[in-house]
Amino acid sequence: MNSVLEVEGITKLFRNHRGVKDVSFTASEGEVFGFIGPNGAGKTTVLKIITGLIRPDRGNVRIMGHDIVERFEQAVSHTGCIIETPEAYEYMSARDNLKLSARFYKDLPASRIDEVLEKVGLKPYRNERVRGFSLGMKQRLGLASALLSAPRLVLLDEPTNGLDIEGMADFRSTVRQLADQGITFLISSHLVHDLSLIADRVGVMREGHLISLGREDEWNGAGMSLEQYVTFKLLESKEGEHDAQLIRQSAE
Amino acid sequence: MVIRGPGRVRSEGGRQLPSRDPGFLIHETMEDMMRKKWLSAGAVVGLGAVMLLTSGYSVMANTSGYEAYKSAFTHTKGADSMASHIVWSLSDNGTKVLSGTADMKVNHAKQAMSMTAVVDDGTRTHTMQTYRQDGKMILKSSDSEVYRVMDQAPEWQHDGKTAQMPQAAEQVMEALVGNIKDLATVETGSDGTKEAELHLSGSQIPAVVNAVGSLIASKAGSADGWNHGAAVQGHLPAGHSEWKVNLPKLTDEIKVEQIDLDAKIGKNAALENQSAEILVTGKDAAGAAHVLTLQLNAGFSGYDATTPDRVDLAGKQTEKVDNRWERNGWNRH
Amino acid sequence: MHSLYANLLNETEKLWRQRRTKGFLLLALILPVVTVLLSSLLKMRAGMLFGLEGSLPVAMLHLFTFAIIPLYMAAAAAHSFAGEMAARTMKLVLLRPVTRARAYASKVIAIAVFAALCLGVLWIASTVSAWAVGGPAGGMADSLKAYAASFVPMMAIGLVCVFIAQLFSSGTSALMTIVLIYAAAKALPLLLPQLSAWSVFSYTRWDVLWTGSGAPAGTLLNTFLLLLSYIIMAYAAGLMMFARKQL
Repeated sequence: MNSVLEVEGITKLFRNHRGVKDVSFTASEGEVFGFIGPNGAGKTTVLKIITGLIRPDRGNVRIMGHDIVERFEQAVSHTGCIIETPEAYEYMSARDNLKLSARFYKDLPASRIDEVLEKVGLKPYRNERVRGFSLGMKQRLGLASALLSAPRLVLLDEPTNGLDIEGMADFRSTVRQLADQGITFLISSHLVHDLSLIADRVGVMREGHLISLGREDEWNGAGMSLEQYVTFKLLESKEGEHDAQLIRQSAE
Repeated sequence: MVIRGPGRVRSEGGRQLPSRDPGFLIHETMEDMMRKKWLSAGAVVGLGAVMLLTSGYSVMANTSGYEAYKSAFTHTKGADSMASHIVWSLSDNGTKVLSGTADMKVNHAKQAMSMTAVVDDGTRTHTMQTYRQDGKMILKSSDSEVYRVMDQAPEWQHDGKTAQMPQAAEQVMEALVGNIKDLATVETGSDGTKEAELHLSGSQIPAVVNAVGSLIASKAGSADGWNHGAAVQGHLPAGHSEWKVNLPKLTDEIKVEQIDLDAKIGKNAALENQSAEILVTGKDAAGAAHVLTLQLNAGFSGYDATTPDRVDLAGKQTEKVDNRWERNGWNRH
Repeated sequence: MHSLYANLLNETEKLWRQRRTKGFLLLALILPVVTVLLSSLLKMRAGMLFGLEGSLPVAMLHLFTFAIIPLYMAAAAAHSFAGEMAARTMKLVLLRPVTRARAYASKVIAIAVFAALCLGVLWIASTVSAWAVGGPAGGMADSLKAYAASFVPMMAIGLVCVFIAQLFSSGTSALMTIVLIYAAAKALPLLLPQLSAWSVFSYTRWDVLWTGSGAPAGTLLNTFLLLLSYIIMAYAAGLMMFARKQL
């Protein structure tokens, strides 16, 4: 299976010693990859590095084979994302916001905007100014914006924030549906149960390190829920830290 | 860009994975790419800075020409004494309407001055002699035998046109005039003299100058204005025949079209010659177009070596006159 | 290149939607007309009016290049760069397939487009107003030259505004700082006249060197190079800062 996303050894240290340290992983076509970890673990930082918002101190990122530094536009043209909170131009309508985004994609059909608004349930509000949107509506608009260009890789940061139970269920089914069509999802969330319902693989992050990568069959096979698996991995990491250190030293 | 080197070790979650790198190749890191970009951007900024320095210095060098003119002008004003010969004429559509000459000798240190001014209005000439001596101002017009004498206040109060403009005002004027300075050219001749030139036309003429010039031009056509002014200056004692001034009365579309200033600066960094030509266009009440031309040429000489002429009042008719200037001071001008 | 064009359309649309842009262009349209009407209402001699600066178009040009266009560019730059950072909408440009260099270029070009548009509207409005009152129609070529030439110092000032805007994370503080710097720069000739030749803000009346009898070729070249150097430096420095921004 082809790698849609390759992250190699990315490191970014902020002034307060927070950041991400030597994170590497890949994601393949049609995979739903979940990023789990406590707040401040570095999940959002990883997403920002992948999308070019932050420049890492070290490491490489390739999307569909394109290096994001050498060929930024080609790499990003295959992605759609929501990083931190979904933003939009508040003085414009939902539709106009999407029109601005659509301009970057040459071969996008005109009907795509309405199509994607319908998909997230915002069609009746498409001509209303975003200023009047609730948090849930803005989240949906963010998702619509991410899916607009029919990307191969979708990066979502806490995507169910502000959605009600029904909204979350809709979201999960949309993701599953698209993943079955071959779209790769990278979803970062602190809602482990939520992720457990859709993730094929998870990466557990703690204090900037990616301490574990596991497949669904791993925790299911061991009879654990995802929460149990994650907790186990987090605890394990305190002992595993020493070993990990040695391996890193030999790699440098 | 790809650099050969030892294979990269991939680690995932702390476990070492088999290398996927095809045969010892390392991709250029992000940092190297960014470093190159910073260097090229920095180089561009550096190039711009170099360009700024060279062009800035050139601009300053040119402005120094303007400064040279200014210092010559200041030198002239500050000289202890000098003589000047002025020839001027005012024409309307090419016909001379008013012309005159003035020969002046000034000695600031001795507070003395002598001037002979001749005004020609096309039909008659009128000569005026002015002396400043012994603390008095003496005027004699060719129309009469009477020497009119008035007591002269110390120079500083009277010094209407030649008073020092405070430096602040000068700087404000220059700021307002802005890029006009860049239009002045100064050329140094082989004999050490300099030729300064400032030619302004049309929209180059600053608003302030244009407004003032147009106002003067519109008033100039009124004969009353001339007569009043002449009376004040003592040229025209009441009762004498009024001048016939053929200046047109401009009422419409008054505009200063052109100002040409040329100066010659001598080796001693003082003005030798200043000529000016000012064109004002406008229409009179009847709608006829007029082009008023003021031409002026002033030569300066005898720096620090001039003694004004004196007049001996013994045996001559004199008349004491109130010094209007003194009464109203600076505002009179 | 498509991404540059696409974002240019976006930035232009964003600027256009703002009230300040529409107000600014409206001012360029209305001020000449109002000036002409006011002067005839006050029964000022039309001659006196045109006596100012020789013609209405040039009078309007100097008014706009002195304050109005620089103020607009400062506001647009502050909004486009610092303001969008504060409103967190900068993400919306940086997360799309457009490089930082092209995003920056498109924001700069959009501001330039409106500055040029303002000059165009102003020229047309004042030339027509002047002609309507029976003013001198001659000198149109000269005033056109003046307007065209004015674009260069305006661009230089605009790019300096863009550079300064990179230093701030709030639109208001960026704008206030630019305004303060501009006011200080305009006061500079009064305090340190020798330095004023170096300041890019001293060249708002640069068009004067191109009209009438013109300035000597050497002066034209030197002052042009000076303005060009500011354009290059401000653009490159601003780009460097923009590209380094970490969100």
